[in-house]
Amino acid sequence: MFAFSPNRPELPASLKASLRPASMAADRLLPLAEPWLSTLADRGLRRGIHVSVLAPTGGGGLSVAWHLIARATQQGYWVGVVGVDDPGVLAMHEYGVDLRRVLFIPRPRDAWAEVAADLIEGLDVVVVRAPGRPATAVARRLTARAREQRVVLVSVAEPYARWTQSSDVVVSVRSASWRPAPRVMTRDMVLDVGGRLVGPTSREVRMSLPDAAEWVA
Amino acid sequence: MERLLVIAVDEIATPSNDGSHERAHVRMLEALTLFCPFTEVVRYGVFALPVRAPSRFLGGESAVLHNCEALVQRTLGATPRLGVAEGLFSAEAAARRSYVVASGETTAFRRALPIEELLDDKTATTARRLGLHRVGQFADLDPARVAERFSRSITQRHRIARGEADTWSERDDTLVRRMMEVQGTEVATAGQQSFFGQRSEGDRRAVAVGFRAAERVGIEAVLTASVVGGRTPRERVRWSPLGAPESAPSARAPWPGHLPPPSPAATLTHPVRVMLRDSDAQAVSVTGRGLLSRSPATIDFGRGVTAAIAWHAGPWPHDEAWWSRHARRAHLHVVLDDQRALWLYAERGSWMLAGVFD
Repeated sequence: MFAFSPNRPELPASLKASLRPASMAADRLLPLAEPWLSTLADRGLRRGIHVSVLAPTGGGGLSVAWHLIARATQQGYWVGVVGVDDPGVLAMHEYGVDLRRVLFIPRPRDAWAEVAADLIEGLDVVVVRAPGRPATAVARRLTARAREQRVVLVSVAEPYARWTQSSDVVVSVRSASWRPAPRVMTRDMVLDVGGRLVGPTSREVRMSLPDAAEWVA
Repeated sequence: MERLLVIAVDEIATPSNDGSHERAHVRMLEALTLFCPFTEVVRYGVFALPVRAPSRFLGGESAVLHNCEALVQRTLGATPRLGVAEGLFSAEAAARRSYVVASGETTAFRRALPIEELLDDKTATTARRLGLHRVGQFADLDPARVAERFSRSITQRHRIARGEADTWSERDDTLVRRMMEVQGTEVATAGQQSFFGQRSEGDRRAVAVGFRAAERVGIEAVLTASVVGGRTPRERVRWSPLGAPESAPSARAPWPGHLPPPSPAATLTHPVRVMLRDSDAQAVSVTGRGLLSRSPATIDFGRGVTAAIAWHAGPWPHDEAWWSRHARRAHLHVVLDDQRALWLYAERGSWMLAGVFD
Protein backbone atom coordinates (compact mmCIF):
# COMPACT_ATOMS: atom_id res chain seq x y z
CA MET A 1 0.00 0.00 0.00
CA PHE A 2 1.35 3.41 -0.92
CA ALA A 3 1.60 6.31 1.45
CA PHE A 4 -0.74 8.37 -0.71
CA SER A 5 -3.27 5.61 -1.17
CA PRO A 6 -6.74 7.08 -0.57
CA ASN A 7 -8.11 4.09 1.33
CA ARG A 8 -5.41 4.26 3.94
CA PRO A 9 -7.00 4.61 7.38
CA GLU A 10 -6.60 7.98 9.03
CA LEU A 11 -4.49 8.01 12.19
CA PRO A 12 -6.25 9.23 15.34
CA ALA A 13 -5.40 12.83 16.11
CA SER A 14 -4.18 11.99 19.61
CA LEU A 15 -1.74 9.45 18.24
CA LYS A 16 -0.56 11.88 15.56
CA ALA A 17 0.15 14.50 18.20
CA SER A 18 2.36 12.10 20.12
CA LEU A 19 4.45 11.14 17.13
CA ARG A 20 8.01 12.41 17.01
CA PRO A 21 10.55 12.02 14.28
CA ALA A 22 12.74 9.07 15.16
CA SER A 23 15.95 10.74 14.09
CA MET A 24 18.00 13.31 15.92
CA ALA A 25 18.41 16.76 14.47
CA ALA A 26 22.11 16.24 13.80
CA ASP A 27 21.29 13.08 11.92
CA ARG A 28 19.05 14.97 9.54
CA LEU A 29 21.75 17.46 8.61
CA LEU A 30 24.79 17.02 6.44
CA PRO A 31 27.80 19.17 7.29
CA LEU A 32 28.28 22.38 5.38
CA ALA A 33 31.02 24.96 5.17
CA GLU A 34 30.71 28.73 5.29
CA PRO A 35 29.13 30.78 3.81
CA TRP A 36 26.33 28.26 3.40
CA LEU A 37 26.19 27.53 7.09
CA SER A 38 25.19 31.05 8.03
CA THR A 39 22.89 31.45 5.04
CA LEU A 40 20.68 28.41 5.45
CA ALA A 41 18.42 28.44 8.45
CA ASP A 42 19.26 24.83 9.33
CA ARG A 43 22.99 25.19 9.99
CA GLY A 44 23.51 22.22 7.75
CA LEU A 45 22.25 20.56 4.62
CA ARG A 46 18.93 19.03 5.61
CA ARG A 47 18.47 15.53 4.24
CA GLY A 48 15.77 15.08 1.63
CA ILE A 49 15.86 18.59 0.20
CA HIS A 50 16.32 19.67 -3.36
CA VAL A 51 19.02 22.27 -3.92
CA SER A 52 18.84 23.96 -7.29
CA VAL A 53 22.02 25.60 -8.54
CA LEU A 54 21.35 27.93 -11.42
CA ALA A 55 24.14 29.40 -13.50
CA PRO A 56 24.88 29.83 -17.18
CA THR A 57 27.41 27.37 -18.56
CA GLY A 58 30.84 28.45 -17.44
CA GLY A 59 29.28 30.80 -14.91
CA GLY A 60 30.38 28.98 -11.80
CA GLY A 61 27.57 26.49 -11.26
CA LEU A 62 29.89 23.52 -10.95
CA SER A 63 32.17 25.37 -8.56
CA VAL A 64 29.20 26.14 -6.34
CA ALA A 65 28.15 22.48 -6.41
CA TRP A 66 31.63 21.18 -5.59
CA HIS A 67 31.93 23.67 -2.74
CA LEU A 68 28.53 22.68 -1.36
CA ILE A 69 29.34 18.96 -1.18
CA ALA A 70 32.97 19.20 -0.07
CA ARG A 71 32.40 19.17 3.69
CA ALA A 72 29.97 16.27 3.52
CA THR A 73 32.44 14.03 1.66
CA GLN A 74 35.13 14.86 4.18
CA GLN A 75 32.90 13.60 6.96
CA GLY A 76 32.11 10.26 5.42
CA TYR A 77 29.04 10.96 3.32
CA TRP A 78 28.80 9.66 -0.23
CA VAL A 79 28.13 11.78 -3.28
CA GLY A 80 27.08 10.70 -6.75
CA VAL A 81 27.71 12.96 -9.74
CA VAL A 82 25.42 12.17 -12.66
CA GLY A 83 25.55 13.73 -16.09
CA VAL A 84 28.45 16.11 -15.53
CA ASP A 85 30.30 14.92 -18.60
CA ASP A 86 33.64 16.58 -17.93
CA PRO A 87 34.00 17.00 -14.17
CA GLY A 88 37.11 18.87 -13.14
CA VAL A 89 38.26 16.31 -10.63
CA LEU A 90 41.35 18.24 -9.67
CA ALA A 91 39.24 21.31 -8.98
CA MET A 92 36.99 19.19 -6.77
CA HIS A 93 40.07 18.06 -4.90
CA GLU A 94 41.12 21.69 -4.50
CA TYR A 95 37.71 22.60 -3.13
CA GLY A 96 38.25 19.91 -0.50
CA VAL A 97 36.06 17.14 -1.90
CA ASP A 98 37.18 13.73 -0.67
CA LEU A 99 37.24 11.82 -3.94
CA ARG A 100 37.17 8.45 -2.24
CA ARG A 101 33.48 8.94 -1.59
CA VAL A 102 32.39 10.23 -4.97
CA LEU A 103 30.89 8.08 -7.69
CA PHE A 104 30.89 9.59 -11.15
CA ILE A 105 28.53 8.67 -13.93
CA PRO A 106 29.63 11.25 -16.47
CA ARG A 107 27.74 9.86 -19.44
CA PRO A 108 24.60 8.02 -18.37
CA ARG A 109 23.39 8.09 -21.99
CA ASP A 110 19.60 8.50 -21.99
CA ALA A 111 19.24 7.04 -18.54
CA TRP A 112 20.34 9.99 -16.39
CA ALA A 113 17.06 10.03 -14.45
CA GLU A 114 17.11 6.28 -13.85
CA VAL A 115 20.74 6.39 -12.77
CA ALA A 116 20.03 9.29 -10.44
CA ALA A 117 17.11 7.32 -8.98
CA ASP A 118 19.40 4.32 -8.47
CA LEU A 119 21.96 6.41 -6.64
CA ILE A 120 19.33 8.08 -4.47
CA GLU A 121 18.69 4.65 -2.97
CA GLY A 122 22.05 4.47 -1.29
CA LEU A 123 24.10 7.65 -1.37
CA ASP A 124 23.78 10.78 0.75
CA VAL A 125 24.01 13.48 -1.91
CA VAL A 126 23.32 13.19 -5.62
CA VAL A 127 24.47 15.95 -7.95
CA VAL A 128 22.66 15.88 -11.28
CA ARG A 129 23.15 17.87 -14.43
CA ALA A 130 20.37 16.94 -16.80
CA PRO A 131 20.70 17.39 -20.53
CA GLY A 132 18.36 20.35 -20.98
CA ARG A 133 15.27 20.92 -18.94
CA PRO A 134 13.83 17.72 -17.47
CA ALA A 135 10.17 16.86 -17.89
CA THR A 136 8.04 18.04 -14.98
CA ALA A 137 7.06 14.49 -14.08
CA VAL A 138 10.68 13.34 -14.01
CA ALA A 139 11.76 16.25 -11.86
CA ARG A 140 8.87 15.67 -9.46
CA ARG A 141 9.58 11.95 -9.19
CA LEU A 142 13.25 12.47 -8.47
CA THR A 143 12.70 15.16 -5.86
CA ALA A 144 10.00 13.04 -4.23
CA ARG A 145 12.24 10.01 -4.14
CA ALA A 146 15.08 12.06 -2.69
CA ARG A 147 12.73 13.29 0.02
CA GLU A 148 11.59 9.76 0.86
CA GLN A 149 15.13 8.42 0.94
CA ARG A 150 16.39 11.50 2.79
CA VAL A 151 18.98 12.25 0.17
CA VAL A 152 20.07 15.74 -0.80
CA LEU A 153 19.46 16.23 -4.49
CA VAL A 154 21.57 18.97 -6.06
CA SER A 155 20.59 19.92 -9.58
CA VAL A 156 22.95 22.04 -11.61
CA ALA A 157 21.21 23.73 -14.50
CA GLU A 158 21.17 26.82 -16.61
CA PRO A 159 18.60 29.38 -15.47
CA TYR A 160 16.23 28.65 -18.35
CA ALA A 161 16.28 24.93 -17.53
CA ARG A 162 15.47 25.07 -13.83
CA TRP A 163 13.74 21.96 -12.58
CA THR A 164 10.84 23.40 -10.64
CA GLN A 165 9.70 26.80 -9.53
CA SER A 166 9.76 25.83 -5.87
CA SER A 167 12.97 24.18 -4.77
CA ASP A 168 13.90 24.01 -1.11
CA VAL A 169 17.06 25.95 -1.74
CA VAL A 170 17.81 27.88 -4.91
CA VAL A 171 21.33 29.16 -5.43
CA SER A 172 21.56 31.31 -8.51
CA VAL A 173 24.67 33.04 -9.70
CA ARG A 174 23.82 36.68 -10.23
CA SER A 175 27.26 37.82 -11.23
CA ALA A 176 30.78 36.50 -11.32
CA SER A 177 33.96 38.33 -12.09
CA TRP A 178 37.56 37.30 -12.09
CA ARG A 179 40.00 39.46 -10.23
CA PRO A 180 42.69 40.71 -12.58
CA ALA A 181 45.84 38.83 -11.65
CA PRO A 182 48.93 37.36 -13.26
CA ARG A 183 46.77 34.33 -13.87
CA VAL A 184 43.24 33.13 -13.19
CA MET A 185 43.09 32.89 -9.41
CA THR A 186 40.07 34.31 -7.64
CA ARG A 187 36.54 34.86 -8.85
CA ASP A 188 34.21 37.10 -6.89
CA MET A 189 30.67 35.79 -7.06
CA VAL A 190 27.38 37.29 -6.05
CA LEU A 191 24.78 34.62 -5.36
CA ASP A 192 21.08 34.86 -4.74
CA VAL A 193 20.15 32.21 -2.23
CA GLY A 194 16.43 31.66 -1.93
CA GLY A 195 13.87 28.93 -1.77
CA ARG A 196 11.42 27.58 0.76
CA LEU A 197 14.06 26.85 3.38
CA VAL A 198 15.54 30.32 3.23
CA GLY A 199 12.41 32.39 3.51
CA PRO A 200 10.15 34.57 1.46
CA THR A 201 12.92 36.80 0.19
CA SER A 202 16.20 35.59 -1.15
CA ARG A 203 19.47 36.61 0.42
CA GLU A 204 22.51 37.95 -1.29
CA VAL A 205 25.71 36.02 -0.61
CA ARG A 206 29.11 37.20 -1.71
CA MET A 207 31.87 34.66 -1.91
CA SER A 208 34.97 33.88 -3.89
CA LEU A 209 35.07 30.67 -5.91
CA PRO A 210 37.76 29.64 -6.47
CA ASP A 211 39.42 31.47 -3.67
CA ALA A 212 43.20 31.65 -3.50
CA ALA A 213 42.99 31.35 0.29
CA GLU A 214 41.07 28.07 0.37
CA TRP A 215 42.98 25.79 -1.94
CA VAL A 216 43.91 22.31 -0.89
CA ALA A 217 47.28 21.39 -2.33
CA MET B 1 45.26 -38.30 -14.96
CA GLU B 2 42.03 -36.63 -15.89
CA ARG B 3 41.51 -35.61 -19.47
CA LEU B 4 41.20 -31.83 -19.61
CA LEU B 5 40.22 -29.22 -22.13
CA VAL B 6 42.21 -26.00 -21.77
CA ILE B 7 40.95 -22.78 -23.34
CA ALA B 8 43.62 -20.12 -23.84
CA VAL B 9 42.48 -16.60 -24.71
CA ASP B 10 45.42 -14.35 -25.50
CA GLU B 11 43.35 -11.17 -25.49
CA ILE B 12 42.85 -11.33 -21.73
CA ALA B 13 46.14 -12.94 -20.77
CA THR B 14 47.43 -9.93 -18.85
CA PRO B 15 46.09 -8.04 -15.82
CA SER B 16 44.32 -4.82 -16.66
CA ASN B 17 44.34 -1.60 -14.70
CA ASP B 18 40.68 -0.86 -15.22
CA GLY B 19 39.51 -4.36 -14.37
CA SER B 20 38.15 -5.03 -17.87
CA HIS B 21 40.12 -8.26 -18.25
CA GLU B 22 38.98 -9.44 -14.84
CA ARG B 23 35.37 -8.78 -15.84
CA ALA B 24 35.96 -10.72 -19.05
CA HIS B 25 37.10 -13.63 -16.89
CA VAL B 26 33.96 -13.38 -14.82
CA ARG B 27 31.79 -13.42 -17.95
CA MET B 28 33.73 -16.33 -19.42
CA LEU B 29 33.52 -18.32 -16.24
CA GLU B 30 29.78 -17.72 -16.03
CA ALA B 31 29.28 -18.83 -19.61
CA LEU B 32 31.52 -21.87 -19.29
CA THR B 33 30.00 -22.93 -16.00
CA LEU B 34 26.64 -23.28 -17.71
CA PHE B 35 28.41 -25.56 -20.12
CA CYS B 36 30.43 -27.51 -17.58
CA PRO B 37 30.06 -26.79 -13.88
CA PHE B 38 33.63 -27.83 -13.09
CA THR B 39 35.26 -25.12 -15.18
CA GLU B 40 38.13 -23.43 -13.42
CA VAL B 41 40.18 -20.40 -14.22
CA VAL B 42 43.85 -21.29 -13.97
CA ARG B 43 45.53 -17.98 -14.62
CA TYR B 44 45.01 -14.93 -16.83
CA GLY B 45 43.54 -16.11 -20.09
CA VAL B 46 43.56 -19.83 -19.25
CA PHE B 47 40.46 -21.88 -18.38
CA ALA B 48 40.34 -25.61 -17.79
CA LEU B 49 37.45 -28.06 -17.70
CA PRO B 50 37.21 -31.84 -17.55
CA VAL B 51 36.23 -32.91 -21.02
CA ARG B 52 34.86 -36.40 -20.48
CA ALA B 53 31.41 -35.60 -19.18
CA PRO B 54 30.50 -32.91 -21.73
CA SER B 55 31.84 -34.99 -24.60
CA ARG B 56 29.61 -37.89 -23.58
CA PHE B 57 26.74 -35.44 -23.40
CA LEU B 58 27.43 -33.72 -26.72
CA GLY B 59 28.62 -36.81 -28.54
CA GLY B 60 32.33 -36.50 -28.91
CA GLU B 61 35.22 -34.23 -28.08
CA SER B 62 35.11 -32.40 -31.38
CA ALA B 63 31.57 -31.26 -30.57
CA VAL B 64 32.81 -29.94 -27.21
CA LEU B 65 35.68 -28.09 -28.86
CA HIS B 66 33.38 -26.60 -31.42
CA ASN B 67 30.89 -25.49 -28.78
CA CYS B 68 33.58 -23.95 -26.58
CA GLU B 69 35.08 -22.02 -29.43
CA ALA B 70 31.70 -20.62 -30.40
CA LEU B 71 30.99 -19.75 -26.79
CA VAL B 72 34.23 -17.80 -26.38
CA GLN B 73 33.62 -15.97 -29.62
CA ARG B 74 30.14 -15.07 -28.48
CA THR B 75 31.23 -13.98 -25.02
CA LEU B 76 34.46 -12.13 -25.78
CA GLY B 77 34.59 -11.80 -29.54
CA ALA B 78 37.98 -13.48 -29.49
CA THR B 79 39.15 -16.75 -30.97
CA PRO B 80 40.64 -19.01 -28.31
CA ARG B 81 43.20 -21.75 -28.68
CA LEU B 82 41.97 -25.10 -27.44
CA GLY B 83 43.96 -28.07 -26.36
CA VAL B 84 43.05 -31.43 -24.89
CA ALA B 85 45.36 -33.77 -23.00
CA GLU B 86 45.59 -35.69 -19.75
CA GLY B 87 46.64 -33.46 -16.91
CA LEU B 88 46.74 -29.67 -16.69
CA PHE B 89 50.41 -29.29 -17.63
CA SER B 90 50.07 -31.25 -20.86
CA ALA B 91 46.68 -29.76 -21.67
CA GLU B 92 48.08 -26.24 -21.37
CA ALA B 93 50.98 -27.15 -23.60
CA ALA B 94 48.51 -28.63 -26.06
CA ALA B 95 46.41 -25.46 -25.97
CA ARG B 96 49.47 -23.35 -26.80
CA ARG B 97 49.76 -25.48 -29.95
CA SER B 98 45.99 -25.77 -30.58
CA TYR B 99 46.43 -29.51 -30.42
CA VAL B 100 44.26 -32.37 -29.28
CA VAL B 101 46.40 -35.14 -27.85
CA ALA B 102 44.83 -38.51 -28.60
CA SER B 103 43.74 -40.54 -25.62
CA GLY B 104 46.66 -42.47 -24.13
CA GLU B 105 49.35 -40.50 -25.96
CA THR B 106 49.79 -37.76 -23.40
CA THR B 107 52.96 -39.26 -21.94
CA ALA B 108 54.64 -39.28 -25.33
CA PHE B 109 53.42 -35.72 -25.98
CA ARG B 110 54.70 -34.47 -22.66
CA ARG B 111 58.07 -36.17 -23.07
CA ALA B 112 58.52 -34.56 -26.47
CA LEU B 113 57.94 -31.00 -25.22
CA PRO B 114 60.95 -28.68 -25.15
CA ILE B 115 62.44 -28.29 -21.70
CA GLU B 116 61.50 -24.55 -21.56
CA GLU B 117 57.86 -25.52 -21.16
CA LEU B 118 58.67 -27.12 -17.85
CA LEU B 119 61.46 -25.11 -16.27
CA ASP B 120 62.18 -21.46 -15.73
CA ASP B 121 64.65 -19.80 -18.10
CA LYS B 122 67.70 -20.14 -15.89
CA THR B 123 67.20 -23.80 -15.04
CA ALA B 124 66.20 -24.56 -18.62
CA THR B 125 69.52 -23.14 -19.82
CA THR B 126 71.34 -25.32 -17.32
CA ALA B 127 69.37 -28.33 -18.49
CA ARG B 128 70.19 -27.57 -22.13
CA ARG B 129 73.87 -27.38 -21.25
CA LEU B 130 73.55 -30.78 -19.63
CA GLY B 131 72.13 -32.08 -22.89
CA LEU B 132 68.57 -32.29 -21.64
CA HIS B 133 66.53 -30.73 -24.46
CA ARG B 134 63.22 -32.48 -23.95
CA VAL B 135 60.96 -32.92 -20.94
CA GLY B 136 61.34 -36.66 -21.34
CA GLN B 137 65.12 -36.55 -20.99
CA PHE B 138 64.74 -34.57 -17.79
CA ALA B 139 62.09 -36.99 -16.55
CA ASP B 140 64.46 -39.91 -17.03
CA LEU B 141 66.90 -38.53 -14.47
CA ASP B 142 66.94 -40.36 -11.17
CA PRO B 143 64.71 -38.45 -8.72
CA ALA B 144 67.32 -38.83 -6.00
CA ARG B 145 70.00 -37.26 -8.23
CA VAL B 146 67.66 -34.35 -9.05
CA ALA B 147 66.78 -33.84 -5.42
CA GLU B 148 70.38 -33.64 -4.32
CA ARG B 149 71.35 -30.98 -6.86
CA PHE B 150 68.24 -28.84 -7.28
CA SER B 151 65.86 -26.99 -5.07
CA ARG B 152 62.51 -28.23 -3.97
CA SER B 153 60.61 -26.40 -6.71
CA ILE B 154 62.72 -28.11 -9.39
CA THR B 155 62.07 -31.46 -7.75
CA GLN B 156 58.38 -30.68 -8.08
CA ARG B 157 58.86 -29.88 -11.77
CA HIS B 158 60.64 -33.19 -12.12
CA ARG B 159 57.63 -34.98 -10.68
CA ILE B 160 55.42 -33.13 -13.19
CA ALA B 161 57.75 -34.24 -15.99
CA ARG B 162 57.40 -37.84 -14.83
CA GLY B 163 53.63 -37.51 -14.75
CA GLU B 164 53.51 -38.01 -10.98
CA ALA B 165 52.20 -34.53 -10.20
CA ASP B 166 50.33 -31.79 -11.94
CA THR B 167 50.30 -28.01 -11.98
CA TRP B 168 47.03 -27.39 -10.18
CA SER B 169 48.87 -25.79 -7.28
CA GLU B 170 50.10 -23.06 -9.63
CA ARG B 171 46.72 -21.46 -10.08
CA ASP B 172 46.71 -17.70 -9.88
CA ASP B 173 45.01 -16.77 -6.62
CA THR B 174 45.32 -13.02 -7.15
CA LEU B 175 43.22 -13.36 -10.30
CA VAL B 176 40.49 -15.11 -8.35
CA ARG B 177 40.54 -12.36 -5.75
CA ARG B 178 40.43 -9.61 -8.36
CA MET B 179 37.53 -11.32 -10.10
CA MET B 180 35.64 -11.17 -6.84
CA GLU B 181 36.53 -7.52 -6.47
CA VAL B 182 35.21 -6.50 -9.87
CA GLN B 183 31.99 -8.34 -9.13
CA GLY B 184 31.58 -6.41 -5.94
CA THR B 185 31.35 -9.57 -3.84
CA GLU B 186 34.52 -8.59 -2.07
CA VAL B 187 36.00 -5.18 -1.79
CA ALA B 188 39.74 -4.88 -1.86
CA THR B 189 41.37 -3.77 1.30
CA ALA B 190 44.96 -4.96 1.26
CA GLY B 191 47.18 -2.81 -0.87
CA GLN B 192 44.40 -0.45 -1.71
CA GLN B 193 45.18 2.99 -0.40
CA SER B 194 42.17 3.24 1.87
CA PHE B 195 39.82 3.59 -1.03
CA PHE B 196 37.02 2.52 1.21
CA GLY B 197 38.84 3.68 4.30
CA GLN B 198 37.19 2.46 7.41
CA ARG B 199 34.20 0.87 5.83
CA SER B 200 30.90 1.73 7.34
CA GLU B 201 27.36 0.71 6.59
CA GLY B 202 27.06 3.82 4.40
CA ASP B 203 30.08 2.82 2.36
CA ARG B 204 28.65 -0.63 1.74
CA ARG B 205 25.32 0.80 0.65
CA ALA B 206 27.02 3.31 -1.63
CA VAL B 207 29.06 0.63 -3.35
CA ALA B 208 25.97 -1.53 -3.72
CA VAL B 209 23.94 1.17 -5.47
CA GLY B 210 26.96 1.99 -7.60
CA PHE B 211 26.96 -1.56 -8.87
CA ARG B 212 23.22 -1.40 -9.42
CA ALA B 213 23.64 1.71 -11.56
CA ALA B 214 26.41 -0.14 -13.39
CA GLU B 215 23.94 -2.83 -14.35
CA ARG B 216 21.95 -0.12 -16.07
CA VAL B 217 24.65 1.81 -17.88
CA GLY B 218 27.58 -0.62 -17.90
CA ILE B 219 30.41 -0.83 -15.43
CA GLU B 220 32.68 1.32 -17.57
CA ALA B 221 30.26 4.22 -17.05
CA VAL B 222 30.41 4.18 -13.24
CA LEU B 223 33.71 5.71 -12.26
CA THR B 224 35.78 6.71 -9.33
CA ALA B 225 38.56 9.22 -9.60
CA SER B 226 41.77 9.83 -7.75
CA VAL B 227 44.42 12.50 -7.93
CA VAL B 228 47.83 11.25 -8.98
CA GLY B 229 51.13 12.84 -9.91
CA GLY B 230 51.31 14.76 -13.14
CA ARG B 231 51.45 18.23 -14.56
CA THR B 232 48.20 19.21 -16.19
CA PRO B 233 44.75 18.87 -14.61
CA ARG B 234 44.00 16.06 -17.05
CA GLU B 235 47.14 14.12 -16.31
CA ARG B 236 46.66 14.40 -12.59
CA VAL B 237 43.35 12.55 -12.56
CA ARG B 238 43.10 8.81 -12.85
CA TRP B 239 39.70 7.34 -13.63
CA SER B 240 38.86 3.77 -12.83
CA PRO B 241 35.59 1.86 -13.02
CA LEU B 242 33.92 1.11 -9.73
CA GLY B 243 35.51 -1.91 -8.10
CA ALA B 244 38.63 -1.87 -10.23
CA PRO B 245 41.61 -2.53 -8.03
CA GLU B 246 43.87 0.41 -7.42
CA SER B 247 47.12 -0.51 -9.12
CA ALA B 248 49.42 2.09 -7.63
CA PRO B 249 49.16 4.33 -4.59
CA SER B 250 48.06 7.81 -5.51
CA ALA B 251 51.04 10.09 -5.60
CA ARG B 252 50.83 13.10 -3.36
CA ALA B 253 54.50 13.90 -3.64
CA PRO B 254 55.44 17.26 -5.07
CA TRP B 255 55.49 17.15 -8.84
CA PRO B 256 57.75 19.78 -10.34
CA GLY B 257 56.18 21.81 -13.06
CA HIS B 258 52.55 21.02 -12.39
CA LEU B 259 50.10 23.78 -13.08
CA PRO B 260 49.26 25.61 -9.86
CA PRO B 261 45.69 25.77 -8.53
CA PRO B 262 42.97 26.67 -9.17
CA SER B 263 42.11 23.98 -11.66
CA PRO B 264 39.16 24.25 -14.04
CA ALA B 265 35.94 22.93 -12.51
CA ALA B 266 35.19 21.25 -15.83
CA THR B 267 38.04 19.46 -17.60
CA LEU B 268 37.24 18.42 -21.15
CA THR B 269 37.86 14.75 -21.84
CA HIS B 270 38.31 15.55 -25.49
CA PRO B 271 39.84 19.01 -25.92
CA VAL B 272 38.24 21.15 -28.59
CA ARG B 273 40.16 23.01 -31.21
CA VAL B 274 39.68 26.79 -31.09
CA MET B 275 41.20 29.83 -32.80
CA LEU B 276 42.59 32.93 -31.12
CA ARG B 277 42.61 36.19 -33.08
CA ASP B 278 43.84 39.68 -32.35
CA SER B 279 41.88 42.84 -33.01
CA ASP B 280 42.85 42.71 -36.70
CA ALA B 281 41.54 39.17 -37.01
CA GLN B 282 45.06 37.80 -37.29
CA ALA B 283 45.67 34.37 -35.82
CA VAL B 284 47.59 34.33 -32.54
CA SER B 285 50.28 31.75 -32.03
CA VAL B 286 53.10 31.00 -29.62
CA THR B 287 56.54 32.06 -30.70
CA GLY B 288 59.66 29.97 -30.33
CA ARG B 289 60.52 32.02 -27.25
CA GLY B 290 57.28 31.01 -25.58
CA LEU B 291 55.49 34.33 -26.03
CA LEU B 292 52.27 35.17 -27.84
CA SER B 293 52.76 36.52 -31.32
CA ARG B 294 49.94 39.04 -30.84
CA SER B 295 47.53 40.04 -28.12
CA PRO B 296 44.38 37.89 -28.42
CA ALA B 297 41.10 39.77 -28.71
CA THR B 298 38.58 37.14 -29.77
CA ILE B 299 38.23 33.41 -29.50
CA ASP B 300 36.59 31.41 -32.25
CA PHE B 301 34.97 28.16 -31.10
CA GLY B 302 34.11 27.16 -34.66
CA ARG B 303 30.71 27.03 -36.34
CA GLY B 304 30.57 30.81 -36.18
CA VAL B 305 30.59 31.02 -32.38
CA THR B 306 32.98 33.69 -31.20
CA ALA B 307 33.51 35.57 -27.97
CA ALA B 308 35.50 38.62 -26.97
CA ILE B 309 38.44 38.19 -24.61
CA ALA B 310 38.58 40.51 -21.64
CA TRP B 311 42.04 39.55 -20.50
CA HIS B 312 44.44 36.68 -20.68
CA ALA B 313 47.27 35.33 -18.61
CA GLY B 314 50.27 33.36 -19.72
CA PRO B 315 51.41 31.64 -21.80
CA TRP B 316 53.40 29.24 -19.69
CA PRO B 317 55.62 26.97 -21.70
CA HIS B 318 55.30 23.37 -20.74
CA ASP B 319 57.91 21.18 -22.32
CA GLU B 320 56.59 17.71 -21.79
CA ALA B 321 59.38 16.20 -23.87
CA TRP B 322 61.76 19.00 -24.77
CA TRP B 323 63.64 16.79 -27.25
CA SER B 324 60.57 16.54 -29.43
CA ARG B 325 59.28 19.71 -31.04
CA HIS B 326 55.84 18.19 -31.36
CA ALA B 327 55.38 17.69 -27.67
CA ARG B 328 56.02 21.31 -26.75
CA ARG B 329 53.04 22.99 -25.25
CA ALA B 330 52.10 26.33 -23.82
CA HIS B 331 49.19 26.97 -21.49
CA LEU B 332 47.04 30.05 -21.48
CA HIS B 333 44.28 31.35 -19.24
CA VAL B 334 41.65 33.40 -21.01
CA VAL B 335 38.84 35.37 -19.38
CA LEU B 336 36.02 36.28 -21.71
CA ASP B 337 33.85 39.38 -21.68
CA ASP B 338 31.06 37.54 -19.89
CA GLN B 339 33.55 36.43 -17.19
CA ARG B 340 33.82 32.87 -18.32
CA ALA B 341 37.39 31.69 -17.81
CA LEU B 342 38.96 29.08 -20.03
CA TRP B 343 42.10 27.00 -19.96
CA LEU B 344 43.73 26.61 -23.36
CA TYR B 345 46.91 25.03 -24.50
CA ALA B 346 48.81 25.41 -27.74
CA GLU B 347 50.15 22.31 -29.37
CA ARG B 348 51.59 21.92 -32.85
CA GLY B 349 50.50 25.38 -33.79
CA SER B 350 46.85 25.09 -32.81
CA TRP B 351 44.94 26.08 -29.69
CA MET B 352 42.97 23.50 -27.76
CA LEU B 353 40.25 24.30 -25.25
CA ALA B 354 40.88 21.87 -22.41
CA GLY B 355 38.98 23.23 -19.44
CA VAL B 356 36.37 25.70 -18.21
CA PHE B 357 36.57 27.39 -14.83
CA ASP B 358 32.86 26.70 -14.36
